[in-house]
Amino acid sequence: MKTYKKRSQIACYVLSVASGLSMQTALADGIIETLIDKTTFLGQIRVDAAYNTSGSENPYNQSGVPFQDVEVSRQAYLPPDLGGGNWGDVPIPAVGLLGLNVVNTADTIRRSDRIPEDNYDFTQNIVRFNGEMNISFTRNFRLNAKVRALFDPEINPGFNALDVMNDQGGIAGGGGDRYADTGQMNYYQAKDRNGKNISPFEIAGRDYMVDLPTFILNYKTGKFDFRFGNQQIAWGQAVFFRTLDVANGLDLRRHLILDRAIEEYEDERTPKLAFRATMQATSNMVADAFVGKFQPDVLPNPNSQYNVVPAQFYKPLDNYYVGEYDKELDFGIRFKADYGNFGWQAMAVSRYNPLGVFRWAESGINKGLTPHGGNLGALVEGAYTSKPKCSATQNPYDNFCRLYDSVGEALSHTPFTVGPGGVYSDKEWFSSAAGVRLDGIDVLNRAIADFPALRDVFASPVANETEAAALLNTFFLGAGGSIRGNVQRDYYRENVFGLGASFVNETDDNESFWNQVIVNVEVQYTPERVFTTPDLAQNGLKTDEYIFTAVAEKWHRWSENFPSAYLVAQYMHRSESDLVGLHLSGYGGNVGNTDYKRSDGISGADYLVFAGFQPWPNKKYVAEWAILYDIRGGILVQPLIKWNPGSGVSVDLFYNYVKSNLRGDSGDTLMRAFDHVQEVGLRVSYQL
Amino acid sequence: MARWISGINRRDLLKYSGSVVGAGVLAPLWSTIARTGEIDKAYPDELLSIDAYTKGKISTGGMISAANVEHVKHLLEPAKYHHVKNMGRKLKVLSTTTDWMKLGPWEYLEATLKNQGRARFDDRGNVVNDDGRPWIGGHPFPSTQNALELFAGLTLSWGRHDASLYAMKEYDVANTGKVDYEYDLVWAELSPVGRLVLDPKPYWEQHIDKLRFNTVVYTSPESERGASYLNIWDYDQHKLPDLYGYVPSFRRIRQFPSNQRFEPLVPGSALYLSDAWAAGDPLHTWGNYKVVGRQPLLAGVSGGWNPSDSNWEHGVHGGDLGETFFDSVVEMVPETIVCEAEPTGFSRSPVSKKRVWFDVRNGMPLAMVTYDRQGKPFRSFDGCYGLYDNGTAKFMDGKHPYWSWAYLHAYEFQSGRMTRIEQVKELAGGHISSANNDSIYDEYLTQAALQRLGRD
Repeated sequence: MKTYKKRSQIACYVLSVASGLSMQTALADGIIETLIDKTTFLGQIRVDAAYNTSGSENPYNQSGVPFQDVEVSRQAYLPPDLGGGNWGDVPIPAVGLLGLNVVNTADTIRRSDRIPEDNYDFTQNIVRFNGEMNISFTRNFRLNAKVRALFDPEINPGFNALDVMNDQGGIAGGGGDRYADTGQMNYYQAKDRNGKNISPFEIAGRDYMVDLPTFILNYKTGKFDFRFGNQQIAWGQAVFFRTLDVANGLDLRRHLILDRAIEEYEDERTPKLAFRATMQATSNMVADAFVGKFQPDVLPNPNSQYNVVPAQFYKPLDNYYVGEYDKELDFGIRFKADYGNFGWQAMAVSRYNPLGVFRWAESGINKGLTPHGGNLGALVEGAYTSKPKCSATQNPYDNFCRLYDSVGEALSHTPFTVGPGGVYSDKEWFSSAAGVRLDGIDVLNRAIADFPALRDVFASPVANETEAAALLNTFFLGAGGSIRGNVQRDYYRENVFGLGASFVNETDDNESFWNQVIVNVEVQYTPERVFTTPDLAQNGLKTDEYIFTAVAEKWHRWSENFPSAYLVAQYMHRSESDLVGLHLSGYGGNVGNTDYKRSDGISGADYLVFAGFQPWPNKKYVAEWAILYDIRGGILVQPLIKWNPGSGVSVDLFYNYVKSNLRGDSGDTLMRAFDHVQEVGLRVSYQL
Repeated sequence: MARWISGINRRDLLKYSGSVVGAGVLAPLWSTIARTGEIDKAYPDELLSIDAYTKGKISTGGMISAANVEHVKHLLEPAKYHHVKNMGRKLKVLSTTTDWMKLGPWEYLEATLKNQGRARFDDRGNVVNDDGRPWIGGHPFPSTQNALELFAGLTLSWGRHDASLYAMKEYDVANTGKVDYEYDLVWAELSPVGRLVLDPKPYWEQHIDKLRFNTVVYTSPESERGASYLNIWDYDQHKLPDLYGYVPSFRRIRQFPSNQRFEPLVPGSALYLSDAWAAGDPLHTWGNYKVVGRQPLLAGVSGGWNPSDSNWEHGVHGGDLGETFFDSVVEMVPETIVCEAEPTGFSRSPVSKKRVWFDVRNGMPLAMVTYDRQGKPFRSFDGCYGLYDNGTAKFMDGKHPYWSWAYLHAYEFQSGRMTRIEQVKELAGGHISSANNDSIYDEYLTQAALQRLGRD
């Protein structure tokens, strides 16, 4: 009763505030009183912390990118379009005067000399409040609202763009809302390129966010249940593998996919504004359908602890609103039937793929080479302006002419921007590209092919690593340090079809380990799914994909004294993409501080999972584990101990261990993307 | 006749014991009930009155405490005696219920009388009507002295209603006396056969092959909210129920192995699905049913309802912090049959056997003790039934006052933990205790219902 009263008081306060201070009439008081009687309120305070034990930094963040602490030689070459033959054939000689190099055409660069060091000892520090209010207007009609409020106390302030504002003119804004690039590290904001929140039910600042993961009106009658509002929908039986779990995208800002594995994507599924109808169609079959506003995945911001996009890029410009994807609807239906030891399910969903497709984008930032590029930059600027302006029928490919008034204006029509914290050397370029499943040469040639302004500033296609290195280093030297990349994200509709079957194995011997093993198989088929290409092409890579998953679950008592352990083994095969949705043709590139290796792709991705938990008597303690193994040699291991001491407190202690090269080439494994993560984590929750 | 296992007054009682066959001491119980509707003609005063039994040392209306519990030691099962003797539990003594129609739901008791003699076991060992179809309602073996028949009657109908919804509050108490876990939960059970009130009756033909739909769903706290278990019982008592559950963190329903019946449902709890009503598993998944004794017992069969609280919640007392036990009532139950059974159908069950005290008057379990694999007492259960009618306030079930359980205690001998659960009028979220409301099927007993009850 004590608790109930406390909750009532909280609900009273919340409702009173909601009703506005002016509602002081007896009628209003009566309504509030009635609503309070029908309202429940739940609250939880939670602290999440994780400490990095690897000694490695996130390779996508400014302090940890490939070749960060390695001196790399750079040489500028005469561009082919200026008569230099192939890239790399004709070095531009240093022009000396009185013993000084006044035109610096060669140097050695160490990235860490230009970028301040940041150490992310604590990879996660979040204080959060989860609250829920449920108002039952009638027995059948209710409103449910959940609020999730997070604050990061900034134990690691991370990269601050203002610290490099005096280098190369700083990281310039323009061409879109660069909220995550031009100032202090931004933990939580997620915006469209025009600065509008991606999620309509979210308020976020640099170090906090408040959102409504659930805000629904629910009406039930007999066999039917209707929900309208912001909500999550989870389909399928596989744990962690999202074969049929396609209704919602993922919000990866807080802890990527490294939360307590057994919780699956509870904190990650991006809620969407949707109408959902569920019906118990027969005593054995449930029909479930939804139509909802398309809501994309949310990616971590540059330099945040779990960032997965190289910080040498600006945060990808999101075309969610500009492309009017926010007006698009996802819809789907699923049937699921169970007949004791057998069951089946089938689903069809038409949706926009929430991961989207990344492609090169015009920067929109007019910033030239001078004065940051020194005399070499001035030389290039001079060479550019010496070209006559192209007439209507001319282009820089076929004619010696220029499209724009300056190099800065030309660059604003390319994906490249002069500024610090970008790519400083060819080696960094190749390795960083491979880190996100791109090929360093293809991605360069694609930019040149798709953006005429690049050819305009003397870039031209390259045939091999040597030529690419020559081109890149020439540009980096001309820029006076580094060049930053610009990409954008668009979304494509796809039709996802799924089938599943379940079977409970019964043996005559009830002592047999194989007795009561529950087997689920699920297959997803998506024709003409569009992926990001390894060269960031404008139209993406369109291909059919199938995903097969087999799951075997078992509850097994090892002894009479302990409750059953939950054991689950899973296998997944994906024909086209990896577990996070990147196309496999981008796999295979070089890793870390190594020389270029072509990203020639892999033919399919296969994963195994072994996970489970073992409760202690009374469930006061639960030992959990989750192992994700990429059969090409990567592994993620998460052991966890959960303590439920009671009185509303629970404590989770876990370790995330990731290794990408147990065997084989780490560039061929999923874990290559986050093998810098080795962390011990602690979560403490208190139920209010 | 099985031996009497109550030591006190044994000599006196033995003189009666040879006088009748079956239940009853002075006269056969069942024919006495059938003839008069009262039980008092079947038993001597010593078995109907605590005053007579203790020769005035404890009086009806008085309180049993550590100070006087030795006088009734042999009328208490071991855990309850331990609670009173060592943990500060107190038991208020009420007068014995002699009106048989107050010992169950009106319709169930009527059907028990009406249908007596029509039940039998078929070749599979399932209780069937004389036409070979599933049982038609009421207790199938009302005058039985047989352990298997007692358990069969209990397994066929747990709560004695066609459908029951129990809004419940659970408190898990550490051996320090501190309530360290609290849960709100809803228990729903519905019978598609043997129906006495709900149409269609006696069978819901669509589900005539099933015995029961049963759901337990936790509604609070947040960490467990939405966690649920749906058991769909086959009428064939050799088959384990299909078991589905909503897993809150997965936000979806999963199928569970049907033999998962000895697992704590939530942290801190001492309850298993197998414990439900002392007959939580299908009849023939247990075996070696036998009667091990008979005795009078002090147990709660009336007066447990607390209408003085708007939500029917009970006062607490005892333990180091004064909150280990619900305020409890007991009365002299003149005759119980003590039965044992073993979990023959479960590998590695933590339980080696259970001992259940059945009230011979209505076949309801009054107490249960389970034993671990070493044969040591493992856990104990006692509770209180009764009409929801205290003379001034009543809660109706159709034309008659509601009859149900009011509270129960589940005690772990070895850890000293106590789980106590009470039936309340309503839980937040609009979950209201009720009987014979067939809407609970759609609201609680389907997979769509579990999804709806799950976390939003």
